Order: sequence, then C-alpha cells, then structure tokens
Amino acid sequence: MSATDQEIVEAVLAGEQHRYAELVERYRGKIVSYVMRMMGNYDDAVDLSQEVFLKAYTALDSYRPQYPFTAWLFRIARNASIDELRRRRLTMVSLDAPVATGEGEMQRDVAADTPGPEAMFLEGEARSEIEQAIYDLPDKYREPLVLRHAAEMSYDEISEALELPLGTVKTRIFRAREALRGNLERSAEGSAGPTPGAEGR
Amino acid sequence: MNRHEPNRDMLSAYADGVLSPDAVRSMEQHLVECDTCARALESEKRFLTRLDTLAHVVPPADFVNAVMGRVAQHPVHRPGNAIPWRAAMRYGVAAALVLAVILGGGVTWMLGSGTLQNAQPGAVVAVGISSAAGLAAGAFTTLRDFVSQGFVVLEAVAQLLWRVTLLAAGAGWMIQVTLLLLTVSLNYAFTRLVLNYQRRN
Ligand SMILES: [Zn+2]
Repeated sequence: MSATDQEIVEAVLAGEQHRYAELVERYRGKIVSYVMRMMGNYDDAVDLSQEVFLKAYTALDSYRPQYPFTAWLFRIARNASIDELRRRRLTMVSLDAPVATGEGEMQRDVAADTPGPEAMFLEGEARSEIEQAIYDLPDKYREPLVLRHAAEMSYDEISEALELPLGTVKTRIFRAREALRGNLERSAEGSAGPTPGAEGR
Repeated sequence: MNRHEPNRDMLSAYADGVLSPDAVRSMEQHLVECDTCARALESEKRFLTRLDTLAHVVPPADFVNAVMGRVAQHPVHRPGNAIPWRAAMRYGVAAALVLAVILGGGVTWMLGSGTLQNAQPGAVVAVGISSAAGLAAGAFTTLRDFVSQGFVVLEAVAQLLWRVTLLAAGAGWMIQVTLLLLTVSLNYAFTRLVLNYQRRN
C-alpha cells in the first residue's frame, strides 16, 4: 500500500527529506507534461518543472492538507509557467527594441532565443500538425485542455486550479477540442495508410 | 429517429464522464437507437485517447534524482518550522490584552475596596504581566510540536512566579485563588477558540 500525498507531506515536514522523492516520482509526468504544453520546449519544460518541485519543497509547510496536493502543486506550476512566459515575452520585446550605440541606433542581432509556444515550431523540432495546433490555441483554451489531457485532472480540479466556474471550464475544453478535431481529421486524411474506421459524417 | 448531426460536445462530455446521471441515461438510450451517434462516439473516444497521448510528455530518467539533489541543498523541514508565528503572535497579544483589561478592572476594584491594602504596586504589575504571559502561552500550546511545549513550561514558571510574588506582597489566599481561577478559565476559553479556528482552516 502506498502512502497518501498527505502522509508523505507530513513525513517530509517531520524531517524525512528523502521521502519527498515519492511525491516527485508520483507527479513528475503530469507536471512536465503540463509545463511542456505551456512552454513548448522540452529542455525548458524539464528545467522549469524541477524549479516547480523545488519551490513546492521549500513552501511545503504552507500546504494545507485539507486540499488536494495536486491542486496546490499545479498552482505553483501554473504561476511558474505564467511568470516564465511573461519573462520571455518581455525579453523578446526588449531584444527587438533598437539599441542606442555610439554610432546611432542599430537593431540587436540577438534573435529572441526564448520564444513563446506559438513560435517554437520554427525551431525545426519534429512536431506534428496537431501538436502545433495545440500550441496555436489561445492560452485560455489551451490551458484547461492541457490540464485535462496532460495533467489528467478532473473538471472539478481544473475549475479549482484556474479559479473558473465549472461551466466555463467545460465550454473552453469543448471549444479547444472542436478546434483540434478538424485539424486532426485533416492530418489523418493526409497521412499515408488507411484511416482506421473512417468516420462517415 | 430522425437523421441529425451528432452533438459533439455532448458526446465529448459523455466520453469524458462529466454528464449528469440523467443525461447519461438518455444518452445511452439514444446510442442504442442511433447508429450515427454511436459511430461518432467511437471516433470521439479515439480522438480523446489521441489527445491524451499527444499531451503526455515523458520526463528524463534522471528527473527525480536531479530534483532530490537540489532539494538536499535546502534545509530539512523540522516540526518546529511549521509554526505560524504571526498568527500565534496575534493570539498571544489578543489574549494578553483581554487579561490586562479584566485584571486591571479587578485590581482597581480590589484596591478601591481595600482588599489589596498590603499588596505593593510592583507585585500587582508582576501578577498582571506573568498572567498575561501565561495566557499567551496557552494560545501557543495549541500549535503542534515541542516548541509550544516549551511555552507550557514557561507558563507554569510564570504562574509560580506571580503566586510567590503575591505571597511576598502579603496578599491573602482569596485573591490568589480568584486570580488563579480567572487565569485558568481564560486560558481554557482561548485554547478552545484557537483550536476551533485551526479546525476551520
Ligand atoms: Zn444520434
């Protein structure tokens, strides 16, 4: 029988630091997936996920065991992702701004090496059209979708994590799916080989 | 059954298990009768599985070790670390204020009625301070761990101290017993209050 999240937290807070590994083990897949789908770059997502687990460790005594550990952990992951995306966008803006030099203004030649997810596809990583379609979704649709499919959260948990009414969460997830469905059907038609059980509409 | 376009959102919600029991029942009835929707549901399930697969990212094999390596550089959580000092301080101050008002009133009355003739002003102040400390300690004792137990000891010492001071001041046993009962009952009331507050949070 494995310990509950709350039991592990209690043990870690009582001084058994090594037991925190159980929580990392338990949620690494969901956190990395979530952050990856928010950021768009695997290495960055792994780095940021490590930060998330580290932040969660240092703030562990502020966790209230009455609430689900996942909701608390995802709030940290979410804030970290939002901060990082905001930082990148600021970096992009400031890198694009002309630099005043002695010989007048010149454009910086440093390309924005830390783009947001929309631009990540240009990096040349092998990425399917549907994957890119996920990144192309506006944040407000992408995030609940990612929480549902990457983090495997329930609608209730998503509603709590995003502080949105349940109805809004459902609507956004359905709209996101609708947008992707068309994309997936098109990519399925284009792919080689027979489409399994071609759906008649 | 008339021909119709399947309601994708309903099918999506059904496949996701977020329809109300009533809606599930009528959906299942309909699925038996309607081939179009039954096929659309199969396609919806495949689509959702595809989204799960797409969204999920596998963390690198050394992820847990990397996190734990960084966690190890942070201090181990200790039971005493978790005390919400600020909240505890507020309780302590509130407790001391209430006692000061009650004791102040009581002492003024006793001085007026001549009961405390023999007591020196210094002794009366000592009683007030040590009792306030005792009550504040009572508030602390409701916080888990050994640090709060240290406060219990402190409280006991404080109680002893003020009773001895009173004795030296020549106050009669009636005053001692009255003040003691007052402190104990206030202490109890505050402990209950704090416990209730903690349970609700
Ligand atoms: Zn139908």
